[in-house]
Amino acid sequence: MTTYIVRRLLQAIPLLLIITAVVFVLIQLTGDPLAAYGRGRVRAEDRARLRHQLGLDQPVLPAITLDENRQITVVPGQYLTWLGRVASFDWGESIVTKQPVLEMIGNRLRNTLILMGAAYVITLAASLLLGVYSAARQYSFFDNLLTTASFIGYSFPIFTLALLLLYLFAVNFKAWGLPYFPTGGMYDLEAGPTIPQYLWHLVLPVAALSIIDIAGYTRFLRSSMLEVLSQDYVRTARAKGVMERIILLRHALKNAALPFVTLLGLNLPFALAGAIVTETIFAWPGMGRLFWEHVQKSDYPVVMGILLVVSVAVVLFQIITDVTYTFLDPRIRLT
Amino acid sequence: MNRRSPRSARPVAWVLLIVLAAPILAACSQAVAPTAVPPPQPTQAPAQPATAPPQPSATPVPKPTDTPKPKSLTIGLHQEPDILNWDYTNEWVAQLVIETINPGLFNWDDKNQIFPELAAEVPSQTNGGISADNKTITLKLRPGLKWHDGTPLTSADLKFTWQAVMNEKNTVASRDGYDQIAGIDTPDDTTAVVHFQDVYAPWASKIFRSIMPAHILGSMDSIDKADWNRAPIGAGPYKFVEWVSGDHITVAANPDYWRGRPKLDRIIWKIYPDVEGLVAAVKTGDVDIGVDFTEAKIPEFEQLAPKVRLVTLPTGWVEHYLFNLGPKTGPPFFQDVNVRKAIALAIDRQTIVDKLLFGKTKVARTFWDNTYWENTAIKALPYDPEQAKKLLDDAGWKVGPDGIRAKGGVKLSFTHTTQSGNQLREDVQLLVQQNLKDAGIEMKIQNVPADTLFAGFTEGGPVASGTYQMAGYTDGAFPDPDNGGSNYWTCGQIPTADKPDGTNWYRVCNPELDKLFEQAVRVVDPAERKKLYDQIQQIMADNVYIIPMYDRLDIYTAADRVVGFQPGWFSSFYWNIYAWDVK
Repeated sequence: MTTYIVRRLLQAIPLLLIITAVVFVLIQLTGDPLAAYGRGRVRAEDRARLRHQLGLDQPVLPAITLDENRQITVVPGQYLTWLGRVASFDWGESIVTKQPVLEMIGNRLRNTLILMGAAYVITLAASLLLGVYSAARQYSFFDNLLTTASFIGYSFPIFTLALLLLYLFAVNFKAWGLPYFPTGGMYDLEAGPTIPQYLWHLVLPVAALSIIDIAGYTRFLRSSMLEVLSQDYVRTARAKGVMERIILLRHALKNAALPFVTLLGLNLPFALAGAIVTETIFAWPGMGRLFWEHVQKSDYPVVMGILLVVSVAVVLFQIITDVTYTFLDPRIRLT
Repeated sequence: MNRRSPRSARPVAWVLLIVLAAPILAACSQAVAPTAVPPPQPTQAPAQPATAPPQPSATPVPKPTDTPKPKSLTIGLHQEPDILNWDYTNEWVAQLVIETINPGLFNWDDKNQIFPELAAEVPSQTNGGISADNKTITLKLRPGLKWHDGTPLTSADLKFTWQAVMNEKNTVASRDGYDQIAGIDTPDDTTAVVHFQDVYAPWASKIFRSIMPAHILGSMDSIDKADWNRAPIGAGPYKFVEWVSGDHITVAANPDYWRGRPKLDRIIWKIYPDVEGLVAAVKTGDVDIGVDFTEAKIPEFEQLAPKVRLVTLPTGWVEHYLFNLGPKTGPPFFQDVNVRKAIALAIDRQTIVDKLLFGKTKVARTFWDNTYWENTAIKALPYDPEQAKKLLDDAGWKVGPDGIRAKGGVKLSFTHTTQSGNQLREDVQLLVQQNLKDAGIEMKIQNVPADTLFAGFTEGGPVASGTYQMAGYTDGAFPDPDNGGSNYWTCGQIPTADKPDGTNWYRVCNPELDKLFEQAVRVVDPAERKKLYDQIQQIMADNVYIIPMYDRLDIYTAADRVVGFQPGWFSSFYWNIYAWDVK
């Protein structure tokens, strides 16, 4: 197991190098950090100065040139310079805010984890519950209801759902004199950052994030449960008179959960993408928003930093998913 | 046969749960721990060096002992300021916040009149502030000014600001104006004598819009990474308190402000990254003032009266359509003034203003609209499709079988590029397209996202690199008329491979204009200077170098409890923030 994990971690390094190199080049191709910097109102001489001061006049990739005197000059280029700094745990500074990138990400990562974590736990709990229940009571009234609801839920684009929740439960509920949720932020400034405040402000964004995922996961789990429940060993267990609850939870769910765990692990990057929209609409100061705002400004040190964090998270989650397999299915051995 | 004991199933579930819940648990325990301590990880104002108590006794503020609630005002922004150092930003939202904490020497009121803020007076030749040769300006500071940490603000700070901006180690956003200074003398603490290399008229709006404290930043090699940039100590009506990244910025009343303590105890800028989120907050009353909305929101806000007041101000930001006038880069027919004029005459701009802008603004006339410098004798070209057709007929553009005019095998057809996803711009574009079609002109829409539209020359941005044919966006020339003057309209500023950062995206090259613009920055007397800008605008109008579409509006909302909110658009929305109050 340990060798397996170490090997996977080592394999991740070239992968990360390729990802970062491709993204770095793409960012540089698609946007100019100085273009977003004050539009045409920045004078040519200021642009030229900044381009030089910020090293943006360097080539993106390493370049070797041979001049007429047959002198070879090697320019490391912006990517290698960036990589060198990352390797020494200095991820550079944002072009627009001049803050260290690690500090910026650090300020936001925690908030994203709170939001994502809460949404993940609720999604997981609810979809396990609903998925197992509707598989056990296939074609019951509740199952049909859930099927309809999950199709509706799954077809909502997240920004529509988020805006809908915002307008209904924050704006209209207040107008109608009902108890209402806050429009955004993590806590009321009067009340300060307390746990009840966090929880209260989490409700709408977590709902926006979870509803769609619950809808999808419930469907997924229901069908994989149904598949497992029709297998011979389940029939054997039933014939032996094992309690239905034990059959469902121990015999069936454990096997049905295998593809579900894969899905959860693979969906992490999409979950982070969903966080961009949710964090933006509910003014939740998380990392997804930070990413989006700085993509628009072509602020490559910040964008690269966040992508690196997300890439590492994806790789780690894949390893965790693999390790979880061995717990769920003793036949799987990681070597 | 599964030989696991029944208990072994539970650890599996626990592992799953713990793995998935670990981040949130870790995050929560972190979040929750410091409840007694200030909010998590804000940029705190550096502790005052002398740790003097915030002088409750020093200034006997008329405050009842049973202080009820602090008078607090919340302003909603839909964009987060990038940095709170004036010289490091081009962002308007950042400037809004900076001005309340760290204003400069002068400011402009809602009538566009300059007034001294930290300066004691506006220098002129009559008060001896401007030398006879116009090259030396003597700046007088108000006596007794203090930084928020109690250190006196002196002319040494002015000199330091100039040096910091010019320092090669500092990546300031602009050196505009400061690079015209030959030297600064500081004969005493309140006097700075600024020697310009040449006569430089725009100085007041370019230099010392905000001042950097020498006693904090003076010893640093580079101020790029100074904490001060995000937690500034200024001399303005409000002191910086905290900035929680992505959430809010708080400032508190400065009892030592030279005008006296402002009326509000604190102001909170709440950051809503999405306009819809901010609109919702305006509706629920979560914010008292909402800043910067698009014209499309006007009907929605009008319904909120009288609880929420809609404030619309026609500004100096001019939405205009550009002809690519480069002989090599633009369509050849744009070289003909009659074609340009015909296109302008064929567009029904008044209907655009009435229908799409709800009649809240007017058809634009010049690039200097609503400023002191506007040549008010110039009238917008009317909507006159008949005259447009006649002009084109006379120039030999005959309507072809497909309804599009052509001459010598060339169709009168061009592309129009603006920012995609901007509802108003796209709606206007469709109206214009129809108007032009009626006159036999084909306009094909080719929109791109904003960051592509404004990408640089080397990145192939359509306006900068000249690959566009007609384009539309907003710009303007203020607070100084040259801010969007000589850098926009002179031959030397046309971007080329050798000069990729040139900002004459119109690609206008008219030696007569070059000369006038050059003269205009060397005339200090406003009345004399205005004559030159009047001529410039006349030439631009006669040649129809651009189609001024409409004056953009600044759109705000203010809750009815807000008193004294009297925004100016010209330079400072907060020019009288010291006088704001809440009911």
